[in-house]
Amino acid sequence: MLENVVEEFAGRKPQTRGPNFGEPDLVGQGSTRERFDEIFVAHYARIVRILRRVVGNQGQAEELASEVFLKLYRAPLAQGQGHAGNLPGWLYRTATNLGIDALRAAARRNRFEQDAARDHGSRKQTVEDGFERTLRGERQQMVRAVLADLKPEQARLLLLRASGHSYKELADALDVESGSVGTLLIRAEAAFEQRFREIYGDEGER
Amino acid sequence: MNCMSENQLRAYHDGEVHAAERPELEAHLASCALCEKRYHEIAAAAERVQGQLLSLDAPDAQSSVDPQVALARFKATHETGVERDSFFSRLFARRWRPAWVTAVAATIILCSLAFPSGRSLAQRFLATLRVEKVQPVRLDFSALDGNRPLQEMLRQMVSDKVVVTADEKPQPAETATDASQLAGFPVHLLGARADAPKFTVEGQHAFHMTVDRSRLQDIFDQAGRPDLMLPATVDGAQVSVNVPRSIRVEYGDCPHAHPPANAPGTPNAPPTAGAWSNCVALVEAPSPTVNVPADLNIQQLAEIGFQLSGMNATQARELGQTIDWKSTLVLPMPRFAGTYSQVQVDGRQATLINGSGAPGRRGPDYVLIWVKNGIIYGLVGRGDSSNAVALANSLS
Repeated sequence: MLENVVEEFAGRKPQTRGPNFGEPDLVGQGSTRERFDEIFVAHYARIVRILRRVVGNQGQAEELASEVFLKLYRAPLAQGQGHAGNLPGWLYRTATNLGIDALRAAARRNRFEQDAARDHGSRKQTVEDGFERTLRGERQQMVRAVLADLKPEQARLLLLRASGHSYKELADALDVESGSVGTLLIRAEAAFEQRFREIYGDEGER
Repeated sequence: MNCMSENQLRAYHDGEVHAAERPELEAHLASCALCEKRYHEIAAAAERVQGQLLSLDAPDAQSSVDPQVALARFKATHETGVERDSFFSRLFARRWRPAWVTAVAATIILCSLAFPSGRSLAQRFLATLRVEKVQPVRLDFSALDGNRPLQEMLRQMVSDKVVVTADEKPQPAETATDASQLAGFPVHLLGARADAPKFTVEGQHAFHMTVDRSRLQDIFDQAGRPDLMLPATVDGAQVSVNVPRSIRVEYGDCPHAHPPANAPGTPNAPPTAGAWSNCVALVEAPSPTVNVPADLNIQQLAEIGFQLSGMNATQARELGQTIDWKSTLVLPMPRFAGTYSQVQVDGRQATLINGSGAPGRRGPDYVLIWVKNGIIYGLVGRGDSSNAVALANSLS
């Protein structure tokens, strides 16, 4: 409060409240605003869980999940328009898109750093890292590297299936026919295993 | 029946075929070696890949995410964006901040830096910091003013990490009794002023934040001080802050954020000569409380903060050692300030900040701050600052 007094003396307008403080237009009017809360509570934890698998970091997963809901918040889906009838699908597609983008960005950074280390003939870091990383961490890194290399739609499909999405939910989230989900899963898994072998060889297999 | 398609085989494996189709598919699988072989291949690949993906779960993957808490945080960040700017942008924006908010902000940042981790907050004893005295310090963060990425990082960190638990609006009060009731403590008036004051009760603000060491380190890097290294294990601890309701008592014709519609001028207009000359505003604010882990070395953190403002390590240490960090409000000198001095108000030490007197300057002529019985008083006005002490001593 004291700073407001001083600011006013200085002829500046202190920060003031908007007329609709606490009452923003969230997802349209009336009941749709309440729906935002329902949607958030219903999907947030699952989205964080999926994103944590993708990025491997709870904090980043929560940030990305917030970003998903912020997109919904800022560009509400009007009833009967766009994805309004398929809101969960939109949420999970957006979440996996953001997660895979983050994963790919991280993979690019890692690759750059690894290349730089190799260029300098530095094996020391590799040795040190080997000590520091757990086997589990290494395995996770390998899986994430393969996911980052897959076609995004295949990575999304595998991630959502692993999080327990039904074929109907997968079809909604990925905008494909539910009758083709089985085939798409088989292809995505084959692509995953093939890419895994290409990068890590047979030793990469458990 | 013809051989099953790949899609059927996979859907069968996943339990995604219609119940009515299932017996026929089962019968076919039992009788067709080709389909059975392919089925097992598909099932094995599915389980291998599924296993790989499930291996991505962190060992602590069972740690629960409370959607209600996340929703509250989301709303605090985005739904009340206007209001959050009004309160939280003050923490980090460049203009002068109130003493306690500055202290709170500094405390949050500084206290966030050195928590030993490995124990949950619940296992720690908390120390509560309360303001008992005020000490002015000249800190110059102007070198960071133009650092937009830094400002954005701070804003984003506040947005992401601060959970607001109370964020009340200010309310006008008709009488001193109403103001006292609303604020929860008795308001004091200036006996030397005969005119009737106006009362506004500023709302309570409370929040807590979770420490994110890597982001703080990034912020230090962005501030050009990568040499200020944070302890390695600070993640996850919490600092909680409560700023209770306070009262603003206003005498005379004062600048105001919300003038009546037909009032001349606007709060944004530069004050004309003599404007608001009879205005005195008295702010009465119970000390904010900051809860931090008891084993926190606040002095060490404060020294890091001082170094961020440009002091060298020796200066920071020397200054840090002179301050009792558990009870002292470190008051960064506002920009309008010319000089400050220690005076006596009601038998207690007070800080009188005088305007610089520079031509064309804005701001009040004086701010007088003192603490009594857990209440921080701030008297702001124009004119001769020697009147300020007399006014303050007339408090009843």
